[in-house]
Formats: sequence, C-alpha cells, structure tokens
Amino acid sequence: MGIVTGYLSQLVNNGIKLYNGAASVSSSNPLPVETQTVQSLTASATLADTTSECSITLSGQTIGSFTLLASSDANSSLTLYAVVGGVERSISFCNPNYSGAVYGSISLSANTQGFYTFDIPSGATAVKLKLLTRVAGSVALNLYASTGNISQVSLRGNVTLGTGTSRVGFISHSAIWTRESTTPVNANLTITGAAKTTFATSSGTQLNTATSFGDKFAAAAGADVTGTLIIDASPDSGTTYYPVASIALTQIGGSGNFGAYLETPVIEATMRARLVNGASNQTRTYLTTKMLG
Amino acid sequence: MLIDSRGIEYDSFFPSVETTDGAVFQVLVTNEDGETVCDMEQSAALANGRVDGQ
Repeated sequence: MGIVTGYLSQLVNNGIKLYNGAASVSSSNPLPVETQTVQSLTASATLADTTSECSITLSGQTIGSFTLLASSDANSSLTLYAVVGGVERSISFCNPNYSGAVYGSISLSANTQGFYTFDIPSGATAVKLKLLTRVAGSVALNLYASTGNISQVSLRGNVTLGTGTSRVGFISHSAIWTRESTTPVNANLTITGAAKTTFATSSGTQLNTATSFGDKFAAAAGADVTGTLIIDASPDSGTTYYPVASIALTQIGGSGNFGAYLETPVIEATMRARLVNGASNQTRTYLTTKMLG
Repeated sequence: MLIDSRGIEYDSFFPSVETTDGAVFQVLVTNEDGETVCDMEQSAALANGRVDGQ
C-alpha cells in the first residue's frame, strides 16, 4: 500500500514521461510514425470481345494511365470505366501530349497504338478497360494506377480554352480589322468600306464558330477636312443597307486633322462603314473597320 | 452584285467611292498574290472626275 501510494504521488507530481529508445521523447527524438504506402498497381490483358476486361481493384490510387496496341486487323472501340457505387461509369481520359485531347472512347484500327492518362474519381473501387464495340481483331492493354495530383482538368466539366494562338498575359477577342482606304476624295463623295460578313449563320441560329463576330462592329476615320462616319447594317447579305449609327469627324490634335471612332453592337450578318466627305476636297484620309467576336 | 444609279454593277463586298447622285466607282484588279482587290486610287480618280465634270 505504501509503494502504490508512492507511485501515485510521483504520477501526480511529475506526470508521465515518454521514452523513444533510451532517450526521452522530444522534438529531436520524436515518436515513430507509421507511414501508409499506396501501391502502384498494374494489369495487362488482350481483349478480343466486348465482355472481357482489363481491370484493377483500387486501394487508394488516384491517377492512372494505360497503353494500347491494336492488332493488324483491329476494328473496334475502347472505353474506360470506373466502378463507383457498384456501377461501371464511363470516365474520360486524355492524351498527355501538348494537345491534351480528351476522350470518352477511342476507335481502334489496324496497329493503333497510344498512351493515355486519367484521373480516378472519388469513391471508385476499380478501373477497367473494355471494348465498347468490336468488329474484328484484338487490342493488347497495360493499365496502371497509382497516387498523384489530379491533372486532367477537363474531367471537371470541360474547363478547356478554345483553340487558337496562345498568348501570354491576355486572351483576345477573335477579330478582323481592315484598312478600307487611304485614298482622298473630292467634296461630297463617299468612301464606302467593303461589306463584312459578321457571322455566317441565318436568323435565329446560335453563333458558335470561331469566325462568328457577334460582339461589335467598329470603324475609325480621319481626314484633313470634316466629314461624317457612318456604320450600316444589311438585312439581306449586302443588297440593301440601313444606317445604324453616325458621328461627325471633329478636330483632333490641331487644325487640319479631323477624326472619329464609332462602334455598334453587331446586329446583322452583314455590316459596313462609310466616310461621307464634307464640302471640301480631301488631301489625306483613312477609313478602317474592325469586327469583334 | 448590285446596280448603281447609272445601271452599272458593283460588288458591295469590295470598297468603293460613291457620288451624291448614287454613282458607284469601283475598279477591281488582281494583285501579285492573285487576289481580287479594289484599286481605290483609280476608283477615287473616276469619282473625282465625275464630280469635276458635273
């Protein structure tokens, strides 16, 4: 009873001291921590029908990749699935090269070969490759799964930028500008810019191409005398026009320099700009247009 | 193709010079790249001449 009382007294007065080896636990001698390792898994198979599969049962893996080599008589298509909630769900995969194309399935023809990567969705218990269709031939597959950072951004709702020339620092409208004329004309003559096809779709149709300029039509004009800048729109592909907006050229930067800028929303599939010269002959002039997508 | 006040055809998809009475002057030429373009100098010269002659 006296010994127990003594230990209890030490415990109350001094607390519990932990040791790692022979030395006390401290910042320089921490307790050992168990490291959980997630294995990289591999599966291989040659598929020659739509019921066989190349499959990996997952245990914490988050990313994967696969290689394929189709036979010389192959005519089939391949799809990647993740088993989530016990159901096979088709998931996307992508070409890991610079183009980064995203696929839901790929067609296999004679000797097709490729390398693709994919992200494994949360909750997946397995990933598998299966032939979606098969007319002839076979495909040899190697399927890999491991851990890593999510890399296939398009998996999250096609967050992809449109095609085009990459620029650092800004993303530009698609646009075409035209120098219509720099030839001066006499008094009261009109320099008419070429008609522009702002979008090649009919009324009631969605603008959905890279060459649809559905935002603004702009014009700039200048001369050494006064004039009027006008933007016209055509409802019948350039047969007739009606004016949309106009602005008088005003003096800019000193005598003998008149200019104006004008822009309107694109309202017709065909638009143009005009510079109507005033009561004096020009000796200098310009007319430019720009349509913005 | 459109018709101006003189009954002469022109193409509104090329630039042009127009007089107050609706005469449109448009001289189309083929450049060194094989493209059809409007020669605005010739077009303006013809339009200026029409105005001067009025």
